[in-house]
Amino acid sequence: MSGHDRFAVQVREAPGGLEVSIDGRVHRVELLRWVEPTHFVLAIDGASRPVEIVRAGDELRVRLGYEQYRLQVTPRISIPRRGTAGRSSSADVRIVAPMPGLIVAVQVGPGSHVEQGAVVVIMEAMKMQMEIRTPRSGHISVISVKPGEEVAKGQILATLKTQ
Amino acid sequence: MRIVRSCHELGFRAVAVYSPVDRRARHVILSDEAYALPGDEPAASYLNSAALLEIARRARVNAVHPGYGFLSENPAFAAACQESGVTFVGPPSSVLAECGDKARTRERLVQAGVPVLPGTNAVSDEDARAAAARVGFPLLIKASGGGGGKGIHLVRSAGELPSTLRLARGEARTAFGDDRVYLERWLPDARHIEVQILADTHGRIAAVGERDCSVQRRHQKLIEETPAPGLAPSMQRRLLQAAETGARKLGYVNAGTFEFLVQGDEYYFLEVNARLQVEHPVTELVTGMDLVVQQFRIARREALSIEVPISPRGHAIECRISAEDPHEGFLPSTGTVGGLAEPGGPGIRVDSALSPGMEVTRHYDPLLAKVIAWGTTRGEALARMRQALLETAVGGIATTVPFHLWALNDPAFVAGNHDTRFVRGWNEREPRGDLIPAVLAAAAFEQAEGRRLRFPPDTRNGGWRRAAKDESVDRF
Repeated sequence: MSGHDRFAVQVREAPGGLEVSIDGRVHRVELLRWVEPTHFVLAIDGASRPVEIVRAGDELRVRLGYEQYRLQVTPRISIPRRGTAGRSSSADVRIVAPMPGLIVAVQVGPGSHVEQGAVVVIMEAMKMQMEIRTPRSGHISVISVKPGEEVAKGQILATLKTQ
Repeated sequence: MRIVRSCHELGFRAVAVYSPVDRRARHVILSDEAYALPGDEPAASYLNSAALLEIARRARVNAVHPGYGFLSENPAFAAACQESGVTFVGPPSSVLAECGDKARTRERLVQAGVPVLPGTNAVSDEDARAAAARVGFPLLIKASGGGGGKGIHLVRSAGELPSTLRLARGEARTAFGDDRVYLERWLPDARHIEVQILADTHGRIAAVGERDCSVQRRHQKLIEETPAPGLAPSMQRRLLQAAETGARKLGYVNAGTFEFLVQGDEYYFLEVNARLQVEHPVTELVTGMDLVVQQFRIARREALSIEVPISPRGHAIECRISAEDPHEGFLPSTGTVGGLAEPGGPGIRVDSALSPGMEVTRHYDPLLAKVIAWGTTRGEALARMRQALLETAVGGIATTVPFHLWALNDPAFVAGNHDTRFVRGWNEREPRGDLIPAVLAAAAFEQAEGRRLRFPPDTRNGGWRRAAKDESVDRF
């Protein structure tokens, strides 16, 4: 996949911090708690700056200055992922809530055919309404929410079967 | 909290109200008395006019300051206050009724000779298509009872009209209890400049100064400053004059803001915000005036003692710290505030609702705090703001701070050459920067969390991979 950078990293505990090697180059690194639970002070080879780190699922979101970097940590000895083999040609697509909020309306029913971009659910948070659209065309197999229901960020709203 | 401060400065007893989720909020802790409202939903709490009046009676208050948002521009509430013998600190009910009907205000300003954009009165779903064709695209659907940028939706073409209309009506109904909407032509590359006015009960009107509020997303302001950078003195005078003319036409009393779009040598009136505005501190910093104190004085029928035109002292800028994630298209973020770091130093003012342990819920506006910087020049104000943003941290909640850091370093913004399209530049930026520090931070974070135990003890190696979504960072 394009846009991926991989770094081989080794970490060693050293007096007063860590020694971290990236692709063979060694840095002295210290990470100190600043503002709980997400903000730290990062010192690299003596130079320090604030950094925000948030764990979101299996990735780390690291914010330095105004930019955000999304990183995934994987062991060097790769473990084969389960469940990817033998996938059928039709796939389930889960439509999830992009933000926590209230379900205002459900625009489709189970079994209905939807074209890519069709509105599935209307949500509301902080006085703002948002249309949640399907990323693919297909048949709605499950509607998991009903109007008036509170949902969390990432909660499944509906499941779509693509052909 | 802002109002509690001015009450105490004037020697008034401050009585606060709060919804259950806000029971540990600063305005509750620091007021002299505080009373709980029945529920967390706005309808049960800060929009609950009956409960508010009952508390006002029980606490024997003389006056009610409605703040901004909620009932601050509600004519029925203002009238109900007066009927129960409580002074409403704001315009009279009749003026609120007129300003609340945005289409009607437009009409009145046209009568006074103030230019407006092509637009309509409240439209039905059936009439919308024909009305839209008359107005022309792109256009905005605006809530008749709206304000503060809520209930405004952009429509680029006729095809988008039906679904956007439905969304706008739904939002207007929840936010304002009024689903009437009207259409207005949209100028995509204009500057949003507004004029603060104060008007007393004796017919004196003072146009205090202008604010540039061109940095907006979803038609809500993110950054405001005064004086407006690069605004020709002749245009500034015309805007102040138009606001004063408009205020006189409407019989305006108390503090209010007249909003305009400015494009080249032309300006157009948009609407009146018949209340104190979120961005009022920038005006306070360059005029040395406390606008809330002025509001109380006007409400006591005192005569204004302000000499206009006012020469602003220096430059002030405000950044709104909201519970929104700029890296996720400014979607609301909710959760519990952990720790907190608020900025300080010369020329920095922080108006904040934040406290550690506070729950940020979906019930209210995402605005958490305002950081305001003052400097003798715009350059100094911007430099102080950059430093203040570096000092600001809200633990556990994504905020607009990264966007502000970007904006304050953007060449167009620094030059004062930006317009209402500015936020698009953030969404379309080419992210730059060095990935190595981020990887080192992540490595140290994983180490601190004890994640290394997952790896075989003899290697302790990790391979790192960036996720696909942020493909732009590989240009370093």
